[in-house]
Amino acid sequence: MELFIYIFVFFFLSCLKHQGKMRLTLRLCKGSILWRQKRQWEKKAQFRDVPVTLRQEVKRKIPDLVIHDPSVKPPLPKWQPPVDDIRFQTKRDEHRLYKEEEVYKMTSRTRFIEGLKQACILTKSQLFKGLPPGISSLVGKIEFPDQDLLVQRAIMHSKFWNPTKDRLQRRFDTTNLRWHFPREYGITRHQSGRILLGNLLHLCESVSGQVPSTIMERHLIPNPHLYTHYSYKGKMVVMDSLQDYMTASKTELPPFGDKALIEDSVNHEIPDMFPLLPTIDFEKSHLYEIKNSYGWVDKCSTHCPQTIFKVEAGFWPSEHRVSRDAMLCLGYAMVHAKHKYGNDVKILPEPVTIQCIDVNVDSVCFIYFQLNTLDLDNTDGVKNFLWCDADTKLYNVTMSKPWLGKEFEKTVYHSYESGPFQKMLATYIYGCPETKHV
Amino acid sequence: MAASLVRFKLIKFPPNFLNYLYYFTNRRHYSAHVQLQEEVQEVEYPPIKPRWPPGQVWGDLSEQNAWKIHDETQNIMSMPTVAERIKHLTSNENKIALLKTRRYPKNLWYFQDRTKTHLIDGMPDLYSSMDGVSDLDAVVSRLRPIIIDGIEMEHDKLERSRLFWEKSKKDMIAARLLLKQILLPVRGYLSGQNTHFQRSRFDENVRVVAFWDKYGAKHKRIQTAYDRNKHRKRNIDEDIKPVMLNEPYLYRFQADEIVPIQIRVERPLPEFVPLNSELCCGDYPHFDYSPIVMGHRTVKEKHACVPGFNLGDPCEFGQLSILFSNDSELMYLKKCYGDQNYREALIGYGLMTSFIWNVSQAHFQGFNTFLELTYPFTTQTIASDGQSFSFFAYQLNTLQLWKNDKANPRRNLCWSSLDNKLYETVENGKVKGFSDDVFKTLLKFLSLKPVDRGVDLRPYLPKDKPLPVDCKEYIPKTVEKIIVEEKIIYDESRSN
Repeated sequence: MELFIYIFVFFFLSCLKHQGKMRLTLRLCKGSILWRQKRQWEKKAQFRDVPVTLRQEVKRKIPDLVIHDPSVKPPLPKWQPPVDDIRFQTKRDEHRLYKEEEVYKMTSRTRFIEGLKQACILTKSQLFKGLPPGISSLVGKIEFPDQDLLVQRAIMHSKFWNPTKDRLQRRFDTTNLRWHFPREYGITRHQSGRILLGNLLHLCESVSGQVPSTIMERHLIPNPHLYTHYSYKGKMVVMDSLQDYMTASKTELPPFGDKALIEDSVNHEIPDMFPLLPTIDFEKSHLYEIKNSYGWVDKCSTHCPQTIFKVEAGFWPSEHRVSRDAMLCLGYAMVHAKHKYGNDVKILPEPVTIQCIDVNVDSVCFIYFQLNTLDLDNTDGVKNFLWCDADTKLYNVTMSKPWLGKEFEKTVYHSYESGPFQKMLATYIYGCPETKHV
Repeated sequence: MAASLVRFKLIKFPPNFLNYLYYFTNRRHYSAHVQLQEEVQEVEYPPIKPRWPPGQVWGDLSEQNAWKIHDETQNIMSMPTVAERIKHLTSNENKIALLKTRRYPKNLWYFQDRTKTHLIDGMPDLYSSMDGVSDLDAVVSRLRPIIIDGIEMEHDKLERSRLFWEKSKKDMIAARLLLKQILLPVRGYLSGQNTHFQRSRFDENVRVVAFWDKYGAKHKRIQTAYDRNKHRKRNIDEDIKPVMLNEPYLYRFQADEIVPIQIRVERPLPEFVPLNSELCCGDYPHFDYSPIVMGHRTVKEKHACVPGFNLGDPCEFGQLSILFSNDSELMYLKKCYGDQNYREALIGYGLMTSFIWNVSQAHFQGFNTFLELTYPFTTQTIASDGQSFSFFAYQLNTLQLWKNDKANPRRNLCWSSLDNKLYETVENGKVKGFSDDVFKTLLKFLSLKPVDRGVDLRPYLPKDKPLPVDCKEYIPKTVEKIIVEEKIIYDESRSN
């Protein structure tokens, strides 16, 4: 009888529910109860783990019977990482490069807080602004047809014509921080810089019709690796960096400054950055090697480094880039001098010169370094020379500011300058025997 | 009863139910105006539409679809720029059969059918005619010591431990560095000699994508136990349902590839074989099965057409693309399926990449599947690991692959020669067995000069708009403003 009543009540309620008369909540009307049941089952259900037992009759017949539970698996042997791989090293002391003495380490990411001043102190050098006399005489001497058009094409290729669509950083403007710029997809800064450097190098090489020794006697090496060390005021500084390109030749570059200038440099005083130490930006590290290598394991016929090419992707100001490049130049010159004159040489009989070209998305920086002494612990005596020409922009950009009106919606590229490429061409040619007649 | 039903809201009337009562009344509309009918003696009918659209041979297509294609071509012809045409063609999201260019063994046959390509062993006659030129021998003798020096340096004299820390990519990076050591001096020398090479573009890791329509996949997929399962609601034929125009044998294909090194020039390369010759028409291997048989999926994806650059670049025609023959996928294939399958896959890889590049270049000149080529497109491809070089030369004769073979007898051509070793070994830091012939063919590939073919390069585009080559200034120079200060003349008579 009760059952009938239940059924009747259920039927009645369901009829009312469908007519929309009875006031039930939406959740009760529409939601299924299944997930509630499952939740209840998970929380409140009791699971009995009954141990498996044998009957006494079986025990009597086979007394030594042992039960093996198939669900219980034997434990796996403990995994041991391969010893050589650095990623699995847990303790620092066990690392193969670990040494007890702590050193300063310089990579291509170290950024000098005081800029060129700090680089001058670390390299013990005298600073000249602008191009050295040997190179400024070459600027604009050699040209090829449609030079400006081809350089502009190189820029446009690095900014627009490459088809990669990577996710870029969201842009913001300091004058209107509330403005929401849409997400952009395109070429990253690093790739843009690499493409620009490759294109400019391709254009520089096209002078080989007029100056054939750029190709016949030189070698363009991709991705050379520098690893050296030197002592600065009793502490060791280890340099470790990977460059984009390097030109090497059988002969060295001719020096920029003559002997009179070197003798005059005794009177020059190196600037001071008290209360900061010049080694403030170096990392301290126990993992390092002691070796002098600038790209080659074995000796090669073309073993004199001449020009370094580097791409800078970050938003560094030009002075930080230039100071980093000066240190790299010191590294290359130092290793070459040590290979040539031995490790204990102090004042070099003939100076070693290195030049560096640093390419960014929109600018090119030039560094020229001449190594006269390797006595870097003191501040007295003969100094090294450093020429630098920064702030050479290839073009200028006015970014879009849509909140100002329709005229400002597009980014505009303007004021192209042909000077930086002419300087780059001059540094590329410098040292070739054909340039003496020019 | 009814009133009580209404009162308790058990019956619901519609809110405008009184309007329905209006129809039961006898009210009707009448007017006194009478329309006068004029007698027409000559009856005018619309012109009779011909069964097939004029101008082309349509082959196997139905009349409806032929008219659709005819309308589509006229629609595309009305668009004045390349950008509009590509935007129109790639805007639709349709099902495409995605082709993977290198993973599977025995895919050469399949690729040849899908691209309608005839394979020829050896190189075209154009290269043998270049042998007589004495410049090449002089170039070889001048550049040989530099390149041997570079190979020796790269082999064991340079410090590369920092770059090779990732074991899986070690071979690829080594091949790229070795190829750079060979290519960079050659690039430097040639750009000093030839103006076309100076103005060319040298690019790395660029994307090349293209899509096209192909006739002829008659057989559907064989039913498996997985398909007969009742819980799988979708029909099997949905997966392999043809996309374009609901024609049963038509498919739209798309292939995507990243080319390691690419060189482009301003003008097209010379054609290997003229379009009227017997080689351009003929038979090719057929493969009538659907793409799912080969493990290629059909997906709904947006179309893309990228020939390695964006619109606006003046270097629009391909000179050379360099691929890696020791790619990880290809090496895995070699390890599992043997040397013969590896060679076939390598040919397929070279064939597909050169075909895609040609098709996408043709799109940038205003051609597409509906607008047939008026002159052949040609490119060169090299697959190499630094030591052994495989050369490919490709000529694209037709893009209307959606017609059957009777309607469109043209076919595309691919020349190939495999496994030419530049040097045998490097022992004790010295290169042994350097072959001049292989180096010469490499130089021929690089120094092949583009020519003026004497044809209109963009026949389907309006001529009044300027070409990308004609642009003379992209970023305006700084103009120094000269400010002239006028002299102020004071009246001295008024001075006190």
